[in-house]
Amino acid sequence: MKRRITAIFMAMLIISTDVSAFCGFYVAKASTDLFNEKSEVILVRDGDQTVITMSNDFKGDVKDFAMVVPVPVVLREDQIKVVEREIFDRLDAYSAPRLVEYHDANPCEPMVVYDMEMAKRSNAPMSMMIQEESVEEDAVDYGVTIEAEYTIGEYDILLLSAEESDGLETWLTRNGYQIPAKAAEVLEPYILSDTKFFVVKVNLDKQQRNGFDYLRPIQISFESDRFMLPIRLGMANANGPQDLIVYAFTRSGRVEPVNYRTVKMPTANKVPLFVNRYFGEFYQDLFHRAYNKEGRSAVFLEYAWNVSPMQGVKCDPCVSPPPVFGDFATAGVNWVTGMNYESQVFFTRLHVRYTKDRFPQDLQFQVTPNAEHFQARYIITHPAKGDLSCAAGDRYVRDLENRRNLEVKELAALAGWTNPNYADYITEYSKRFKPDKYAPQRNSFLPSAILPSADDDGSDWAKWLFPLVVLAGVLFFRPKRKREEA
Amino acid sequence: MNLVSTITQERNDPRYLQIFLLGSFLAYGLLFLQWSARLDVFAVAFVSSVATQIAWAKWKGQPLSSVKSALISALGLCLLLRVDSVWVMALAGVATISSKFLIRHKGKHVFNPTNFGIILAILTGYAWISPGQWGHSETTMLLILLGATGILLRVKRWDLSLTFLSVLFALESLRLIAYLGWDWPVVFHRFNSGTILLFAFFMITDPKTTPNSRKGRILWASMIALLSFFLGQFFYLYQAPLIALFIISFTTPLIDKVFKAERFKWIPKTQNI
Repeated sequence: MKRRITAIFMAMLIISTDVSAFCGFYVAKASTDLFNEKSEVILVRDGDQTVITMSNDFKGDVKDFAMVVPVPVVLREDQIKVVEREIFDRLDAYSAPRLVEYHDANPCEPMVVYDMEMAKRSNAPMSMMIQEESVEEDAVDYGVTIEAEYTIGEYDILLLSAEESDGLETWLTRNGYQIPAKAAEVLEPYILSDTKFFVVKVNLDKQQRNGFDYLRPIQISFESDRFMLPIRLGMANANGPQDLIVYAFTRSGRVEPVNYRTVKMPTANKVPLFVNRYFGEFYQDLFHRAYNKEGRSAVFLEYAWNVSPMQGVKCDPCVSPPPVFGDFATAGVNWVTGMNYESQVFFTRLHVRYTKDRFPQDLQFQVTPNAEHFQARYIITHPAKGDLSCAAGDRYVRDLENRRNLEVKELAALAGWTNPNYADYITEYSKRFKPDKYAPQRNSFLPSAILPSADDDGSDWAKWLFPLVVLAGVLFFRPKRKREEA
Repeated sequence: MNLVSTITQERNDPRYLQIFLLGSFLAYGLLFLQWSARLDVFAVAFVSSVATQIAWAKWKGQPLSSVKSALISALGLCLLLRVDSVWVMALAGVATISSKFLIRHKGKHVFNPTNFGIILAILTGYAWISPGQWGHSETTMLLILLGATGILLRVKRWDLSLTFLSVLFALESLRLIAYLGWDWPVVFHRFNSGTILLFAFFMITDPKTTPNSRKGRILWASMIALLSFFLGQFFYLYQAPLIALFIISFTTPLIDKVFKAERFKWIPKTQNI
């Protein structure tokens, strides 16, 4: 069937969050159940230079906000910035998994041009935080050194170094930060590897004067030969799995974790038309299944593209504008400017769902020269419109039924969705254009009856066969000694 | 030497088993671990390695049975090296095999060929390794351990793997658990990695480029583990074991001089010939 691409749908992945955090953990004065579920971070890596932007998508009924992030060096004031939240929204919209729409041409009619549909998206509003006054006690008694102290934007920032974790824990508690019960043991390894702590809380006066009802992202830049994200600290007050979206910019190619396996999300799958109404749910379930299938220990690639100013095609198709000079500047990609537009920039979007047991190490990354493009993209196809009563039309309707049958199977395999009513979707056109009730029902089975077997577990036993094959090989190739003596 | 004994001797060559095992790992990675199946890159790895081997063997008047070694090297490159273009793989293939003929000391090549090719390819800036590519599943570990047992029983180089792994494990445990206070899962996670196991069981055990005597090998493997630990823990190099092997290879001739022993042969001479 000849198809033309005419419109694009994009739906955001919406994960309900009360509180979300970056790699650090949230500490609060109120005894509220704290948990972080989703966080976003922009990473820029150029040589040893790293820029990390952390989104403060902090919500819920927690009265207070504070964040502790391990950093390799004491940051200067000019290495800390507050940036606008829009950069995350723009990068997310640009790189989010997408649903693409195609239209079949009517085989009995000349071509019709359809309207372009607008990208759809939704975003939950962010709520305000209240910061209570606190008195900072003498740090020296606890082996804690305040290396630097800044007020930047709406934040009061402290850079601490500590001699031992109990002291730091006590100091934080005495100064009004309620830190998770197991924080001390999580802090210990960082203190011993001479890490500094970037402690952020909201300066209420500034916050009110700014007039924002949300917290803006904080950006830090520093030089370090380590290219990593300290996720372990954030697990101290974690309540179940947490999602982290990493938007990374480099000069050469993809960013790849070195201590976890990277898996591409399924892509270019054809799914039923009605998925456009539930794309958010669809992607959530798809991700969840992929996450389980890969042993809950993989990092997922959702997007990878060369976004250099001179690069022609920045997405295929684009769901929202690709990053421009302004976005590069905000994100900290300082090697590309209007004056320096020939430089290369490569963008990677990774999605990590981590838990304590499956992710025992912090995420360590490398910049690879791998400039291969990738996007998580799912396809819906609108059937032809108008009268289909011609010979080619009959064939088309038969093909359509077969295709929809495959789409429904794909949906079951990807998201695990089954529903007996999907049979109606499969035969919708066949029934409409074949009113003869005595015509053979060639697709009368219910898809749900056969679908459980199409599940992901199919490849599992095959995987276990491999060790047997290897064992057989070892036995087969064993030395045949002393034959000629016999 | 009659035909029967030739065939028997061929069967005794552990390289066939090695080819089978590495081939199985590659198939497993492509089928279940989502490795990028770039057939052009794989083809180039094989063609460049084998062609270089044949060319050198003809020139030096050596038997063509050494093509088996070239196949092992090519499989090693396919398993470990990730490249941006086929030319880098071609370069790696040629460099891997040529290093065996060009960089020699007293009739024994100095560098592990695959290791040499990988280091050279990474230095070009157009290649990389993906240490995370094996993931952390039990099936993968079982597969590698089974294969490792099979091959080490044949080439009798388990002393190398055991020394390397235990020294590295001891050092990392001391630092990560005793000093930094991480939990055991951190150390297990680092060792439950296909890359480190493949390195320990299939790369450093190459009998042709390791010291001839057992004492020498234990010293040699300990040095690789020590250097690998330092490069990984203090310089944050994720390719630490490969770099360590490359550097420590320079000491092999010296170790062979101090600890003398008979050199390894792929096909042991049978008594009655």
